[in-house]
Amino acid sequence: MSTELTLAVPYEWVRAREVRERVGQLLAEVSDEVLARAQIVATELMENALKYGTHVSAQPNVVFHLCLDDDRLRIEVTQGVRSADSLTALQVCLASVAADTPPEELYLARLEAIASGSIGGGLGLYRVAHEGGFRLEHRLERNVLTVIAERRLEQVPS
Amino acid sequence: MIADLELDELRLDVEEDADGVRIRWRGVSDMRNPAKQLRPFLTGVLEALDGREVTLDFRECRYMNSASLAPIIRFMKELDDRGARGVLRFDESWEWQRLTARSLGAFARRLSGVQVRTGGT
Repeated sequence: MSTELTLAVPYEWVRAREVRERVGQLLAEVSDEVLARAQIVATELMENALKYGTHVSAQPNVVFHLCLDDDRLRIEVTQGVRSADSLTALQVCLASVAADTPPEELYLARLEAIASGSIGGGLGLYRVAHEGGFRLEHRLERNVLTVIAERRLEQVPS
Repeated sequence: MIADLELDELRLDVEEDADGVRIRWRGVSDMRNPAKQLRPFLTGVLEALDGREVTLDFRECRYMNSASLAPIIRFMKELDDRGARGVLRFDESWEWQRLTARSLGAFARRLSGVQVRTGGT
């Protein structure tokens, strides 16, 4: 049996909080671990889409989709592409997360860079991979980008 | 004296005495650009410490986005660079706090004067 949620939301910052709250309501019966990770991932992907995405005719809203089944949690966020630069930056980030380096190592390197002042932020997707424990990939169709986060759920002893 | 700060759904309540400064983070920190207000606030805290220990107490914070973590990371490093002492407190009965405390704890181990502690009391 699966649980699903699909939301089309305008490109407005406050919507990320609303999506997090809807995810909290939807997953109220699951374990705290799954719920917390789902909310972190939903928030970070939504905030990325709202910060770096834009309204395009093929994608007038951000579309959030969550699917939870017995052994897998999958979250997809679809947005219009704002610029080639923002797309490239995101693809570089996703490629580094998909490489062999452990997510914790990438995350700590990012924290070091923030601490030194060499970057101002850009932690979100690294947090999804490290704290969320999600695998990340993306799909690009013309000027519409979908970021996909997926995590297999461990069997919880009864 | 360090003034309290209120930002959207987040409130930072400051308690200070001769030994230390405690800043309680209450509510939700999910602004688009929290560094804009948190950086000057935390820089002000650094300037006012005068040898006292500072505690950032997140146990009543219901959620924090990654954009809010960046100014906290900068603060941890600047605190350490000055040879000051700081503690970040989390309540690991909140799963998101447990995950965040683990990450910030790994970073804090690279510093000498900043600790991450978990526990509800």
